Amino acid sequence: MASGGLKMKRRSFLKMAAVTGAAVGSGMSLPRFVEAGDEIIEDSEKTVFTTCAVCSGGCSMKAHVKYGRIVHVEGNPHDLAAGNPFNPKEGGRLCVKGYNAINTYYDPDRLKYPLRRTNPNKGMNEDPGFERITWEEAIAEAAAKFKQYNQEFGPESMMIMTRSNDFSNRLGKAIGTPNFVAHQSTCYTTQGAAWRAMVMGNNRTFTYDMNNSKYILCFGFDGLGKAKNQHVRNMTKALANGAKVISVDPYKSITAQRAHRWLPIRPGYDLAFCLAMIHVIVTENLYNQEFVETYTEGIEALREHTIAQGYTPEWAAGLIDTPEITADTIREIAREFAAPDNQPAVIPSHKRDAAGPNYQNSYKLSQAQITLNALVGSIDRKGGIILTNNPSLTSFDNLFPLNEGLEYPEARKERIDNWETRGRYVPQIYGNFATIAHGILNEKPYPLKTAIIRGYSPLSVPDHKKFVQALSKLEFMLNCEIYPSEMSWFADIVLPEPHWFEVSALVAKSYHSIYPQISIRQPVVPALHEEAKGFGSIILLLAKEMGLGDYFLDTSEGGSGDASGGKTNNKRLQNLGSSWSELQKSSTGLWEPEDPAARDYKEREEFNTPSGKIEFYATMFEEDGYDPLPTWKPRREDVTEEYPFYMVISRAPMHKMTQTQNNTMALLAYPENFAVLNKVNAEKLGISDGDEVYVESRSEGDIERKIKIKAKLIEGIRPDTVMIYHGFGRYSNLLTNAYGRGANEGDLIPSMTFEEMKALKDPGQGACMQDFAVKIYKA
Amino acid sequence: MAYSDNAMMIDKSICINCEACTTVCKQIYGTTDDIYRTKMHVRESGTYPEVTTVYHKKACMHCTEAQCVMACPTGACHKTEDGLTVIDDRTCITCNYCAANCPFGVITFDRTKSIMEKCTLCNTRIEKGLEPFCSSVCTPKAITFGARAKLVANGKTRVKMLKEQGYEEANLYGENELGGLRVLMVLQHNPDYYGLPVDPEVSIGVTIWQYLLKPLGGLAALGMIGGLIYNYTSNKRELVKKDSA
Repeated sequence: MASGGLKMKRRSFLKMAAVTGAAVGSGMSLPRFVEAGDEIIEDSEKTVFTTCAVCSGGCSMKAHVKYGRIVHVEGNPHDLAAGNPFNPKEGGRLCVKGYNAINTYYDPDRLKYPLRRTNPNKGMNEDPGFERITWEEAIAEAAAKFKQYNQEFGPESMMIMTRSNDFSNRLGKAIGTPNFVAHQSTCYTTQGAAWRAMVMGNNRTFTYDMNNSKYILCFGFDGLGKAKNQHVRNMTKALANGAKVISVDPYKSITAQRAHRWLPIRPGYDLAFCLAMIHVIVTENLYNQEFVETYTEGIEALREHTIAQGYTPEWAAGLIDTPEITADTIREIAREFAAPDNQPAVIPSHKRDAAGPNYQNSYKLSQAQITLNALVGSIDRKGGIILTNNPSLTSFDNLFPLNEGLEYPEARKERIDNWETRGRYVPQIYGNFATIAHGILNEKPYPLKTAIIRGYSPLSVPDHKKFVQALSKLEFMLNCEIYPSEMSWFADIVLPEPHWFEVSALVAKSYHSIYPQISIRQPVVPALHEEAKGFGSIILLLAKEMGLGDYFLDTSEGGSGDASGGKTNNKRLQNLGSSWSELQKSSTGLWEPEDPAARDYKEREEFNTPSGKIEFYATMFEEDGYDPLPTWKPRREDVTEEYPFYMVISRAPMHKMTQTQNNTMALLAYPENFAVLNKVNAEKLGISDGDEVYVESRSEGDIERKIKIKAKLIEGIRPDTVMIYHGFGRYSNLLTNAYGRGANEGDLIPSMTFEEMKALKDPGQGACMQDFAVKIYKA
Repeated sequence: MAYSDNAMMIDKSICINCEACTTVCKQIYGTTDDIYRTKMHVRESGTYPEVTTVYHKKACMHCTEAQCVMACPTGACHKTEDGLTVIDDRTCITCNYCAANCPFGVITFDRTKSIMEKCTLCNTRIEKGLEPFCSSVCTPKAITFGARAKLVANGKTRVKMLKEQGYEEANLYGENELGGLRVLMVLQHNPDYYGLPVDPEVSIGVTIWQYLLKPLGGLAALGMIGGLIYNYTSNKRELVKKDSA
């Protein structure tokens, strides 16, 4: 019985190219406007190469357009991240966040035009009362405010809070402020510091060649559970090839479920486990002798140290105090990790696993993990951790140097977040979310009056309620966003940016560069909201209005007018022997070096340390007053009778931080977060699955660190641990789907004073995102 | 009828429960609100720390012995030439007999659109030599599509590997169940962990319905029409008689 006729009538929906947000209605689903979905691929009007921007993985994709709408996206088979350039027949994949990005793109709640706040009061419960204004008004007002306060309080009274961007970096330097505040202290600075000191000297990124690993030991690393494209595919391949996976994690993550063993470690004690592993491998001489002799420095110092300190498995097991992790367990894992049959063995660490900035001992854990990887020869070797080979892109400063006679004013050294910028461990363009509230509220070292904030959410800043007090204190805040987020909620003026489906850029494969590869990002469809302007353009408009336009001239050879993102992209490609138009015409949407030999592992013989070798005894650390060898340090805070639960924060695979909780597709899969607890606590707390509970950490002054959230009772978590997914607890009522869902665990995380941060003596200046304990009781 | 040789396999030891499949299927087919053609279900069992969690992608298995087809009174639920189970909305009367008789519970009544919603295995794509959307988008390639014999062989290799890893109950589900399921599954545990029926058989009720009651129903309908005709004609004779008395 063939289909047709009636089936067309029922299933063929809106064919209008210009479907407005209202037509999509509640935004619950895209209109069904094709028959059975099959014609999407062959009959699409066009297929455009672009690159996903949801995470920094940079997966290249093919976007299919029909009836003027993006209807489907698929992974680019030739891409390092989304496919397999060595065998493109395998086809390309994306992750669930790449697929559901279409629904973010068409979200009717997206910002459409500039807005100005009419309600002078700022707070979580204060509706900004936004009114629409023109770009001219917005830029004029913002520039006037910045100029006014910079004049009265100095250029350092202005903050630029965004991921590093060529244009805002230059504007900040032209103004003369040192305050480039970014999020990395909540992300990966603890790993970064250890890698720089022991191996790399600079530039943090690396990739994991788990495809070829035979033994993958994970300390909180959940490669399968974050659904990050390449991690998922490579780890899956490793398992399919017979690799052994061990998951050491207080929560039975998806990786733990696929693992051969799940060891539910006491949170924050992974360091003891790793130190004991080093002890076994070194004292029993199980390490890769050849690699250690040729490429490392300090094995004897390490041996002496581990014996002198007594970092035995018995010592570690005593600290970890967990029935499933005995001294024999640790000894067994250590021997397995070093066994020749299990090579290559690797300990991957990405961002917020145990070695990420979660505890005051996290950078030491990273140090210990790098030591272990080096002991078995898995640094920059197949199956191990590969130091990325990103293509070298000409810097903005070299493309558009300042004209003769024009200089940047000298900025004050001290920053509002007290971020120490001894370039060795952390660049100036990073920042400290843990101390920023302290600085602003206490006007230390000086008052902060204005800010440009782009893309970040207050929900991702520790001690959220304190941070929004700080935000409210600002005299003027300009927010650049695609959504009316909780950051917009505290803004004076909000400017709409285009979604990445509408912009142009070059994307180097930061996490996946086995060899250099650049993918194109280009507009797939005409801009949905005509008034949206790219961030570079916004900065340029501001600069000109503030009389700083000279800093943005196109000073390149033969250049005229202003610098721009488009020119930057083109020139960078030209310096690689290509061009923007060439990349646009490419049949793969990718730039790669022409020489096929360049597509191989580099396998460095020398490393970027003072000795040229991987340093077990990190001389850089020693110079700067840190322990050069991996040593024990406990958590900052442990559980007590009053606060008996450990805290673990994670993220659902279909959600990206705070950016997808308004996305209808993502919400269908995961609509709200929970306090995930072991079932044994049901009786203790007198609660059932789904009951509301309070989760509370120690309060401070007028900041109440308490949230109300539903409990979820499972078996797969330590009885003394609670796990909460990030991204919920939304209060911007302009996000119609996100509003009111779940709770924000960021309310519980203590922030730090400058003194507290300094006292940690952490070269990564990590924010200690999980280094506190909580109590839980029925609501 | 010789059905096509292709099949789908879902390796539940690889699935990471990211719901990319659910997302794209819904984007393409636009099912109503909380109705899905495919959806992930999570089931946890055991006691800490011996915990077992399984992820089950629930969607039409396109059984060879399809009880929904047998139960359908109008023939709306039918097998395509390719052997896939598809419901024709034009002749469907939403009686829900298909949903009631599905051993996997994968047919949903959409009241707002007055249709029975279920996975079609993207039958029109398959006809054009493409693979279904879910298998083409699955990030870890837990869902694969291709020649049945090859998938069965792959599945058996996976089962062997899983057993070596310690999953003693690992099995390949769907090879012969209900005449063979078009959608095979590599399971780490017994089917009941996933909510799947163990050794399902065509129910007696559906068989009786299909071979006895439906035809009887047809006969009954014919009988009723015959009875009406007889009643109409015999009444006329009575009247004539009365008049002449």
